[in-house]
Amino acid sequence: MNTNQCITPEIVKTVAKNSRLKLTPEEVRQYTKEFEEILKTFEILQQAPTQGVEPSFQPISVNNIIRDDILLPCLTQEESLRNSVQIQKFIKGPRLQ
Amino acid sequence: MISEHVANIKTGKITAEEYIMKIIDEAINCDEEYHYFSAFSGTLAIAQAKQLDKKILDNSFDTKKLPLAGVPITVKANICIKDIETTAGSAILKGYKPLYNATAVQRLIDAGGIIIGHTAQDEFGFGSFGANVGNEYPIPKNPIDPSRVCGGSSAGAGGWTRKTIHEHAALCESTGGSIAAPASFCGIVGFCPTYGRVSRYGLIDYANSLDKIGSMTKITADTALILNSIAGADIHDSTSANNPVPDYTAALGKGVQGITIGVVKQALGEGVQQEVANSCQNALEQLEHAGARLQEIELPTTLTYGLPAYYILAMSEASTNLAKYCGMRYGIQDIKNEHYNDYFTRIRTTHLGKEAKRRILLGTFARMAGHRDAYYLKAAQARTLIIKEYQRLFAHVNMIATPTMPFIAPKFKEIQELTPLQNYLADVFTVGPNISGMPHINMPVGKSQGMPVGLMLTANHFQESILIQTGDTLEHTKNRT
Repeated sequence: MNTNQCITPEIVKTVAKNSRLKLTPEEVRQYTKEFEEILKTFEILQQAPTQGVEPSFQPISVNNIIRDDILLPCLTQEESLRNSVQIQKFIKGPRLQ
Repeated sequence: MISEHVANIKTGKITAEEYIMKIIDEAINCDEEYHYFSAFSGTLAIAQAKQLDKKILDNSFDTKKLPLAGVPITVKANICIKDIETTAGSAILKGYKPLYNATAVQRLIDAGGIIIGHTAQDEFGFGSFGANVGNEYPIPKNPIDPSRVCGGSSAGAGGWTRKTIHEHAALCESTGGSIAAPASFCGIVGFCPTYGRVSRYGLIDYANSLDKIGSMTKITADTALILNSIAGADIHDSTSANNPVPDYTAALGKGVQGITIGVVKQALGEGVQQEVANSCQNALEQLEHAGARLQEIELPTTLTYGLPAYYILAMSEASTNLAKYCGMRYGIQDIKNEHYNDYFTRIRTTHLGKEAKRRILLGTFARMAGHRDAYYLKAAQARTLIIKEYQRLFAHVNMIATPTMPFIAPKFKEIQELTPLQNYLADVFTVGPNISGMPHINMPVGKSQGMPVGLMLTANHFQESILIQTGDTLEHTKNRT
């Protein structure tokens, strides 16, 4: 657990790369400053008495809903491609290199 | 009042087609100055209206069915309408036309509602003021004073619900206050149900564990009608709740005798505009006069940890949800001449707005190895503490009252001077019920400098009826300002 780490331009650049975003030097400078201010304010969360407290990943308890394994109607190929910009009768994915 | 309009449609006093054409005309004209819409679905709406009129004329109509017959409905831009461009206010989703209706939209259509278009919003819901619209989108203006914001993120829904002279209901969505805030700034009823009460199927997610679909209406009775139609379990959404759905209109006209309202003293003090605090206090006294009991309470855990916990959870979830917007699967596309990673980066960098990038970056940071326990996990644990605090209080009170927003709708020039952090701090009261999934309602309760003031009432999970009961009572209190 580490929240004392300073936000540096290098961290912002790494996060941006992981997020598939390209930042200008000015944006890196600006986000670095903003993130430092935001995370410093959010530091108060570390004082919350959470030892032994279960995390709530949902606000209410959620149970899995399982339906019978029977075939139901779904979209046809024609329907699923109807609103596509590039209709090539297949679903396009990234080229493997 | 929607119920009177429905009666007029069903008895043939007015035709749905004529009414829908009038409201669409009004919406198009209004949009030129106020920018409340991101898409219109006029052709679809008129076809629906004609079909309804024919049913009525042919008498092939069960009058008990279609409780929303001929009611014009707008839908926030992040809720899918079949074949209508659905962008969630983002340039990266331009051109995306869903192949299906969101469950809530379909249920409104099945009840006789007529969908007239998509309302504008902060990009993906990232904003408290309605000013963080996606690249190239115009910013909605407050219907009472156009130099001020509508509030976000359901800005268009709030502005239009207040502005229109026609009967209408807005379907909208809240993650951290996106229904309550614009309802407060525009002076209308904003209703956010319990998490899971309304299916999220067909909602473009901001943060899955926080998003709720709700409504904005002119009066509480209209809210009850809308909720009757959209609430209930849905096989398409595993987080939708199976709890029985009561008739919410049964809560109307019941008064507030015997109801205890917990008043958060801290929320009417420092940091809240004096006239906002005064208006809320007056409204609470009116409820007391009508038979409710007021009890001072404290909400220390929620008010201390709610904001950071909310923003960490919301940004973490948003950063994963938005990973799929890369110029290939949905919306905007371009010619790909480079490695796919470079293509994704180019598309995302060009078409995502500044606030969207900020939240993606912060969320990605909070989920990175070495940070996850300190931020994401800690925030999820704090959410447990907050839910427990609410549950403890709800053992003694039926509802909790705070102002919805600590101030009236600010001017555009005022929010330009705010830092991102100062923007986030505006949500201090709305994040509590949202992070804990509690239903809440904004009621207009007065004015300050001519602008509306909103009171927020929060109830325990699945206690929507008591909020409708109290909101309705407040509207009928004689001394209402």
